[in-house]
Amino acid sequence: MCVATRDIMDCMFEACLEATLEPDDIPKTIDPVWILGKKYNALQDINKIRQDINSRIWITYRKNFVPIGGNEGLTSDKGWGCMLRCGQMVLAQALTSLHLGREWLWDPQTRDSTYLKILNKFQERRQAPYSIHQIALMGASLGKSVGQWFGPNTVAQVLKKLVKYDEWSRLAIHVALDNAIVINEIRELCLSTTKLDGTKMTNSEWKPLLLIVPLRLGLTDINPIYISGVQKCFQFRQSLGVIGGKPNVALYFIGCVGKEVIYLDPHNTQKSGFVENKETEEQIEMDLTYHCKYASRINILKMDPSVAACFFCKTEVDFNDFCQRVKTDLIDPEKEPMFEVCYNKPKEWSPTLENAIEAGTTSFSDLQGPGGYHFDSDHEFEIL
Amino acid sequence: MYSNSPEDSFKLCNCDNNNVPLDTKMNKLFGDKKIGKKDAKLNNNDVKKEVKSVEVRKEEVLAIRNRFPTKIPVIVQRFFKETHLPQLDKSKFLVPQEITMCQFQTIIRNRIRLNQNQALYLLVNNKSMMSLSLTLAEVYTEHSENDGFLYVTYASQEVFGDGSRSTLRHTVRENCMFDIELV
Repeated sequence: MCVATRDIMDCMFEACLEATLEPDDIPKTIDPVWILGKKYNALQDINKIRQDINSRIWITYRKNFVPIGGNEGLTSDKGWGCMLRCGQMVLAQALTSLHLGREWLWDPQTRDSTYLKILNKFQERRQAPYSIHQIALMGASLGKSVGQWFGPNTVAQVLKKLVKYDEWSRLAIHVALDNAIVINEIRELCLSTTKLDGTKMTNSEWKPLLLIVPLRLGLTDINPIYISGVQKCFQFRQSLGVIGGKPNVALYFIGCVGKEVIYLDPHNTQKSGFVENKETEEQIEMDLTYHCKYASRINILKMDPSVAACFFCKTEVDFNDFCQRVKTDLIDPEKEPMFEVCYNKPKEWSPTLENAIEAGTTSFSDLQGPGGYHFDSDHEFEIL
Repeated sequence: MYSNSPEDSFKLCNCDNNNVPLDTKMNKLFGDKKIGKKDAKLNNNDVKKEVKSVEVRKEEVLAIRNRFPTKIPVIVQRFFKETHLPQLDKSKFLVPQEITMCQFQTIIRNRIRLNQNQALYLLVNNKSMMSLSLTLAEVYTEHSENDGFLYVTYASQEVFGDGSRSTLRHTVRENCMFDIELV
């Protein structure tokens, strides 16, 4: 078949698909559909599911924005900003849950001032605290120059620094590395304020917590033992989804159904503009570009193994409940859990005197193996 | 002793790909020091296993276990695609059996001088992250290889961007601050 014919047929097929078929965003299955901690029935709740997905703030590549970092700077993040966009989406969702609640739903007519205030924090301009400009420049201060690709942990570290300037939200971000959630570290973060002179004061009021747990669930592919763990991440009431992607392509995973995850995709380069108070035609149009009608899905095993699971604990009670549920749902049933919860940071190991002497006096130069094999210096063990 | 001439690298790569029988010279070339060199192309997670036959490795472990019965022989290697984290200068360790994976991870963290905000993952047998509260002895019992070694691979996280701009990605990674020079 010649290329032209095939193209025509493709077009016809697509036109046909649009006209007659429903989009394949949610499979018709009896498996429950989980979206950011809410459980739905795919057969009965399809409209509610779509409304829920459509209400999430969807942030994509943009073009023709104010140059980042001065006149010569980049004016589009196409090709490099996808992980930064995923970070924005998870933070936007945290702010939505904090200020509007998880149940809040968007509609094209809404002019809710709190919603607009949140959205404006992510617009493409330097003054917006969570703009691509701020994230890229803060990334540069951490050693990733503007235009470099980010991993989930990098964007988490950047957001952790940026939220400190947002007094409206008082949000605290904790990035739990080394696969462990250390309860006392988080309590200290959420219950204390550092004064200007550096002294810490215990505060009785809990700072709302965005908890990010960067993980590596395998080297090149996801190890199948973590499938159930990934699924459970979307079932916690506190779930903010997972940032990660397919190899090279960052995606914001917001839910799961069976062995598939449901995601919002930032890879759609839209023009830049501002929603402001959503008064003009143009601003109303612009607001529409922040919401995605249909989500997409991939199999969990097709995900890139580098991910970060995200959770939102508005109150101390939420946090305690979260820790309890992680233990009962994610740790206890698994032989090799994805991450752990502990009260204190485990102690560092330091060699005992006995070990130190042993290591100090051993030389392998005279050590001979049973087969006459010499341990030469190239093959020496390092004794810890 | 260790020439870094292009011919040598070429020979090494060839040998690696074609599975040419290894003679003593190759054995030397593939020794720890070579792996420790900061050359990602030569680094391969299976290097250690390819270098010596199972028998030789078994003997090595047996000898070392006799001498240090309370220590676990561990081979720690950088993930071959890893470019952010530096190489360890050694890959063979004898680790006290009572220390936890968490403590072991801290040791590796300190060795490659990572700050506390950088991600580091230790994967046993290239597959799973171990529960950090397990002791090395427990992990060893469950996951050691036939040759008697415990194989651990370390990696940070992948970065994400559009595949069509992979050249940018390459240069970008080379200039990254996380590439700390080994002393």
